[in-house]
Amino acid sequence: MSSRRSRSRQSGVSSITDDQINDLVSKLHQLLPEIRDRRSDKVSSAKVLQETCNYIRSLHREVDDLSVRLSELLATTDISGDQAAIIRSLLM
Amino acid sequence: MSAPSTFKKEFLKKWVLGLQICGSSTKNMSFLERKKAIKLSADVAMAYAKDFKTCWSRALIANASKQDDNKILVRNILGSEFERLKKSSIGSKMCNKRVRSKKILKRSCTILRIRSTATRRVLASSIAKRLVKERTLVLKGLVPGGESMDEFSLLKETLDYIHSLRAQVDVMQRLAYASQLSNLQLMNTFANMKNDMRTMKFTFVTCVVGSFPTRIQARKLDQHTRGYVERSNLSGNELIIFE
Repeated sequence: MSSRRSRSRQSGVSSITDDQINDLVSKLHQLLPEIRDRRSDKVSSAKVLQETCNYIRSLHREVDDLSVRLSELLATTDISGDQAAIIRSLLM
Repeated sequence: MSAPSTFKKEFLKKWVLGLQICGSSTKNMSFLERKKAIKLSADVAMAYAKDFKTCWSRALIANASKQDDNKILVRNILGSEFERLKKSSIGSKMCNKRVRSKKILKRSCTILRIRSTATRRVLASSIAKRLVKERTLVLKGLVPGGESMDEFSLLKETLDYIHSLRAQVDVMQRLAYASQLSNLQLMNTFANMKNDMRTMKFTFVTCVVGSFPTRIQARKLDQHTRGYVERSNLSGNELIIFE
């Protein structure tokens, strides 16, 4: 009896969050670069998750490459006065 | 959008601060050490700019602090925030235990349902569910702190994390571009000009790089300043200098 009650409660709770989960999945779908170009009416959760993982990995790689490039460009991580002026302008 | 640009500004401020702290502690670094310091300060700044409101930002700091040599840098960059984070992390561990017990209950109910009605349709959907579960596991490994989240929170955190990563990449690219320009001695030339002409004010505006959306914002000038525009031939980039 308690299991039946808990099961119905579970299905009640999951039907609410299912819509929210689908909403989140479609939002993720909008962010991804490849899927955005093609028709976006078919949203397969598994595909979105896979593309999300690939995208995060590529962003990580890009941060890594940029760190390498910056360590070549910046002789020391101590920012000089001129560079600080440029950076302050970038803040605009 | 105002929210991403505010985040970018916060990130840049904190990153520059972090870089200066890293630079002051070790003057002569090897290439790899410098790269690690840049990356670490960028990640810490990204989490800091979120004010540690999201789970992934707190987990990122926790992961960074696990190694002793990084821990010192992180503590220096964050200052008093570090202690506040340590105290709040104890509370988050309690939430994770509750989440795990809910997941176990849900899983046992699903297994009971599938065994009683094993039609082809249910099997197909269970395969789809298995795929989603497997890929969710992979995603949990990628997002900091993802291991102890339920699916809903994981998706929310992933959205936020991707937005922040994109902003981080954008700011890092701009800084790389600015550093490239500075290394081309352009800034030294203008700095010399600045020394020669005492009444001039130099303001450098946002750099524009070919593949990014073009956005030029001019700082407000007072009536007494004149301006001239120089177009450089570096792959269609424009650098506007007001004097």
